[in-house]
Amino acid sequence: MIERGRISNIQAAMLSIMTLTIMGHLILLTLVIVRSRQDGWISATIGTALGLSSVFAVTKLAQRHPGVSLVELAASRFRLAGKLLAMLFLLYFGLMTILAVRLFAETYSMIMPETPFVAFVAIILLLCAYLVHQGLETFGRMNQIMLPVLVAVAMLVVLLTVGQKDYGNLLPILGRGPGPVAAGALSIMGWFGEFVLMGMILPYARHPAKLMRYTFAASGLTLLFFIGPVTGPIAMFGADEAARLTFPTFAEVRYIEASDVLNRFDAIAILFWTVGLMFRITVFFYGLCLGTGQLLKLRDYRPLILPYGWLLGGCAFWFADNFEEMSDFLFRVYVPLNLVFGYAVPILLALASHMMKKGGIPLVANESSQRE
Amino acid sequence: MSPFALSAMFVLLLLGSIVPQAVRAWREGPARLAWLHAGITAAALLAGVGKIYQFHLPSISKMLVTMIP
Repeated sequence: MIERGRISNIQAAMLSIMTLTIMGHLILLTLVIVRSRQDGWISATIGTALGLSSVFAVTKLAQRHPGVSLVELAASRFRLAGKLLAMLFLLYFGLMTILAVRLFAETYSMIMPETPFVAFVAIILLLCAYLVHQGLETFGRMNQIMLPVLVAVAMLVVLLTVGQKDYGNLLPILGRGPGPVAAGALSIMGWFGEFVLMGMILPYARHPAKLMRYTFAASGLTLLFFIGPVTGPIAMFGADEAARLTFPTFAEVRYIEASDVLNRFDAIAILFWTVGLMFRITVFFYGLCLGTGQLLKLRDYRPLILPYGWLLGGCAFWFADNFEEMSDFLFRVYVPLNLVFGYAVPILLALASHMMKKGGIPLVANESSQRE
Repeated sequence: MSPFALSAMFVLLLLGSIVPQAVRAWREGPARLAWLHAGITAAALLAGVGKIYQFHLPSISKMLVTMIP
């Protein structure tokens, strides 16, 4: 068994909150505001409710096969097709890691335009490679410390901007009909599809029987942390103006003026993005290395960190020629990709696993030894 | 810095950090780990040097966008 570490259920839930929330703030917010305008919060609620199907499927798989990750399960259970599926999952994890690294570099380039792009890529990859090397328990605990701090800071931002907001901008409800709301809900659904990554982490939770309530609570909290950022920029700038912003929350935070002294709160947004993206990259990078190690039946996943780090760094440059190309990818590919890997595949895997269990077909060959 | 110098530095750093690990994997096993190192290194070289020399390769995002109807 490659991963011997175990994390608590709450640590697993917190990792999922951090991984999803940061993507919600950086990318999804723009997608939802552009598509649903002032009805973004309705889209978020509907999308989350639909997204629970992915959360349910992934959690059920982890409960049914404790200690066996999604890649390991596919590779060992479904012969050649399973191995192919496992490889596709690894490609997906790799692509999501590259996207996050590129996003990190893009956001920092916006703030520090004179610093070379390569510096941001190298720094975040070195940091995340170190965290992946330390293992699941280390970054699980670290995230448990950091997330409450970030939540407190985010709440402070909400409080400090309340005076400048006009929530009347959220009216009229369903003013443009149900179509834009449905388009926004689909984006949110796609975003929740990223929960499939937890298929690499949830099997190592200490109490798998109680996982479902934790993952559902994490989904609820993720929605709650998204409602604020999706309504805030609209209440502050209006729906049309907010839809034109590349990073709406960053623009919102820049308007805070707590007193004559405290009026540069941009650092708060940077803190949030840096820590959030660090954990997001670490979790996907970890899933990629662990999954490859399990697919190839290696003794340890750590020798893969360095070569993968180089590959991810190189591909972060190759990913897009400019930010417009990346936006095009996010608007056209991100959601369908997540709907396939985050919904179709895990739900089919959960159904197949359920039917095989009912039919009395034995579970994965090495599962009993892995539970020890 | 010229593209040649930049790519030479990239190749040296990449090979210098991965080759010792790959050789150890080849000697001590499993051999598939060494092959994996070789494959990933080749892909990283292609991505890095390709980017430095501005090969006329479409970007990853562009390739994926064209795949979606």
